[in-house]
Amino acid sequence: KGADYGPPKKVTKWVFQPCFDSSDAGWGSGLVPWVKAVEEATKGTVKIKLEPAGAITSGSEAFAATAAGMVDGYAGWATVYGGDMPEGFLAFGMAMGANNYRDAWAAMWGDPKYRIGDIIQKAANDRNLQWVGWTSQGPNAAFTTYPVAKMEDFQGKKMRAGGPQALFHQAMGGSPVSLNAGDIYTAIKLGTIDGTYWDTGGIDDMAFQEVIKYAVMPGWCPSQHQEIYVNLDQWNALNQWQRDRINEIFESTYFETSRLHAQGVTHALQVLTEAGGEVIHLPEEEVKRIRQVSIEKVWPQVAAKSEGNKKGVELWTEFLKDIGELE
Amino acid sequence: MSIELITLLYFGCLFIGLFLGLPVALGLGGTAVAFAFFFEPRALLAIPSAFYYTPWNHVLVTVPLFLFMGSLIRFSGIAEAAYDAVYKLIGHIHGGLAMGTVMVCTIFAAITGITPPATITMGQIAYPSMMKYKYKRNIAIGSIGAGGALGALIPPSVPFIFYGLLAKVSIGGLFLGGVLPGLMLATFYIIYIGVRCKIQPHMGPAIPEDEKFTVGEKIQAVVAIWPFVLLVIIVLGAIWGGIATPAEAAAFGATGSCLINAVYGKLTWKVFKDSLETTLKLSGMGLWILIGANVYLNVFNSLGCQELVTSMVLGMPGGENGILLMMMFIILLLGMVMDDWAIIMLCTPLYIPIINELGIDKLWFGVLFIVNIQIAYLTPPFGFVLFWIKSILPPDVSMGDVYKSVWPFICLQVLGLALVYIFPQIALWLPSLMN
Amino acid sequence: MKLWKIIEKAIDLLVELMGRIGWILVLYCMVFGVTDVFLRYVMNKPSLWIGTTIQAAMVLMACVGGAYALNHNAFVKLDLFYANFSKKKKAVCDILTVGYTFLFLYVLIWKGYAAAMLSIKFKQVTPTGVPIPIYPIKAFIPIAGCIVLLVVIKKLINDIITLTSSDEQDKK
Ligand code: NA
Ligand code: NA
Repeated sequence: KGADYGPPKKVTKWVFQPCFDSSDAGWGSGLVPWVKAVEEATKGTVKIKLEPAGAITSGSEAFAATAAGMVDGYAGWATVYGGDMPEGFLAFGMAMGANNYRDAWAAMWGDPKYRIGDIIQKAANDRNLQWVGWTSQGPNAAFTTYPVAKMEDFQGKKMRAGGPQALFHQAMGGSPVSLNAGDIYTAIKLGTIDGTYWDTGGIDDMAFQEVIKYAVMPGWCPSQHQEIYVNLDQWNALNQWQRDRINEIFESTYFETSRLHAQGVTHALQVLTEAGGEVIHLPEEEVKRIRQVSIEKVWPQVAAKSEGNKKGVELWTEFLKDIGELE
Repeated sequence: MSIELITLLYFGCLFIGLFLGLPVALGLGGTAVAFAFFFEPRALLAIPSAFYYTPWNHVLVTVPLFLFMGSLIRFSGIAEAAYDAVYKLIGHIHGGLAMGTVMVCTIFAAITGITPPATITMGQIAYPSMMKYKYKRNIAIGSIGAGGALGALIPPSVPFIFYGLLAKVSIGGLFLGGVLPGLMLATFYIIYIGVRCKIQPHMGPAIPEDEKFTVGEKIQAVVAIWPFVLLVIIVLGAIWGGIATPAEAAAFGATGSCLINAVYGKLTWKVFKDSLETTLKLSGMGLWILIGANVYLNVFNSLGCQELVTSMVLGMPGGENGILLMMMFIILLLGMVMDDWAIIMLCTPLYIPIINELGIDKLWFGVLFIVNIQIAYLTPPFGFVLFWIKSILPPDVSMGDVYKSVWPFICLQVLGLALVYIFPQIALWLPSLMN
Repeated sequence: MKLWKIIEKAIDLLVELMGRIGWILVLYCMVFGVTDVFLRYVMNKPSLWIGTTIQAAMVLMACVGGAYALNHNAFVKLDLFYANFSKKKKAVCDILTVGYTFLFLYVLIWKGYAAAMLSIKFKQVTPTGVPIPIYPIKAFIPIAGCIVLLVVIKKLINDIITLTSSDEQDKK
């Protein structure tokens, strides 16, 4: 660390466009706190302007746009950018993977035995990106018009499910339906489908409590995550001091924003209950069964997507065995 | 250069190009590219990006499919036969065909969540028949345009969904909120057509006195419109019966009209080919306009022009009413060059904090918003309904003809907007029953 | 002049070929739209690829439909003044505004090529249950831009021919 190690004179201005807009829980509880932390930690030498999805380009295009330098930063889920970088699915959260954000952190970064995060960081670097932020949004779960007491209750049910959700629902013997987000509400209301998979904290944003009856906990992905990436050229244009400060807040913002999201989840479920809905907590035994099927049927499909995923899935399996969730 | 000046030039360059006869799609795209070049070169990547993501939209599938449906029953003559039958039934009423057109558009609005399908389908089917029965262009074009615009207001409605998500308002509530204003406007149009044609019979002539039809002929006529009724049942039933999404229902409609043509023995290669040709021509054109509009929006945002919107709204004198008026005015301006979702994506996040601050009902504001977008789509010089109408009508109909046709209907829309503004119950009564 | 006629024919032929592809795409959306509902509603076995491929078909439709529509003069214009212009005046206006078009198409082709290369590098697929490759579609976008450019050049040359032709032919 040389004598010039410290805040630079020049202020770097970044434009971020996530794959979601300001109505999403990821905006207020995930991205905004991270932006504030970055601006504070770098003593105002990095300033970030947030644009909603669709402003500069569409949400689905934003990841590639960040890699290409059209915008400087991105936030989103592997369910959106996974086609550009399959390793994102390791960060998103595995089907019936980590039970909570503390476990997820341990497997990703906390315990040197696993460090799954390194696989993702390498994949991001290969795509001209730097992974700079992470947050757990709590359970991604099934929201249904029918009660679910056991795995078999999903059989034959038509559920809106995208990407990994579809793989899970198929593994449960259900019929996954691919629908645009804007069509879900009406489709459930009219009975075209029997429910949807969604992140729990976001159901009230989508007004799903008006059309569904049950929330099935702990969800198919008990700890669903969202990632923040910065264009690698922009990242390298910072000085070492700035990069160190931003790296430092990776962990603290992870826990801060994951707690915020957890509050959002509680609130959303409360909205559902007040609207006459019911929160179902599956019994321990049933969760074990579902986990077994997920690991047998869904995980191999994630592993098959890339070399990095293969290694990552092995590490996830090892982790779950070590903490006693798997025999 | 100040942001005000850049914005002014941005709109100015577009208008000059378009008035010199440049195709709308290329004017939007070209202007955006020129400004990105000078002020924000990295935004140029938005162009191929928009070309990819714009058509990658589930709702837009309804456009080629309803175009195909309309073309098939037009080129085979089935549409004409059906309109002949309708003429026997309601031909004695002055302007009856135009009133019927508005009603069919209203039904269409209950099928689709966007404006183009009703406009393009009825433009193909209803316009030639109204011409055949010596209706004046003004009434024919106006009824199709205004009726088509209802697609966004009467549920299901894509703009309401977007607004509901962004503003965190119940989508079910918004849907209900749009019902009465939508039906009210449809009623206004029908009354206007009836009154106007009664006073000026040459606008929409009734059947001459000596050419009355017998009851038997009328019953025959009812039977003759079965293809239409069947199509409506197929498409409406598929959606409201929980069988299909709106996009899939459009595929039902197109398939249905293939089958109907086959039953009539009219599914010739020529009809089929002509229909595909028309469908592709108009879909290609429409998609390019939508791509151009998205590029225009993306560059607008990259230049930072959206800050101007906020400052214009907040700088408006006259308190709450002044601010609301300014908001509506900006929607009207943006409606010239942007698609409905783009206006909503741009304005809602800027407006909602102000609306919350003022303590205004967000549901009511949403209905005002969408009624206003309808107006923006129809008001000269630019608007998406105008573009669609112009493209679907025969080449001898100029933009000037379209402008002349739509203004009475715009007045009715403004009246509707004013009524919803003065009497919020028009929007809020049905949703209040829900709670 | 004779050579130009041959080139013009060749461009028209290419555009018509695009048109045929477009027809198939329209039929694809129709047939598979119904099939999807049949599989879901009747068989209770929804497909995980039909919806995605229909959306992909829409992008391809924009690619082929653009050239087709432009060549058939179906691109909507605001002909408020333009409609009343003489043939020559129209040609002048067309030549004046062709800069917008060239700019747009140039960037569509140039940046479209860059976007396609990135997509190929990422081996972009949809993040759906059944992944559908995106890069072939993105690679087609700059090609579509080139074909539209050919149509624009064709129209431009015809405008110049109109301008330089003798006045007797100038009819309103
Ligand atoms: Na509608
Ligand atoms: Na307008």
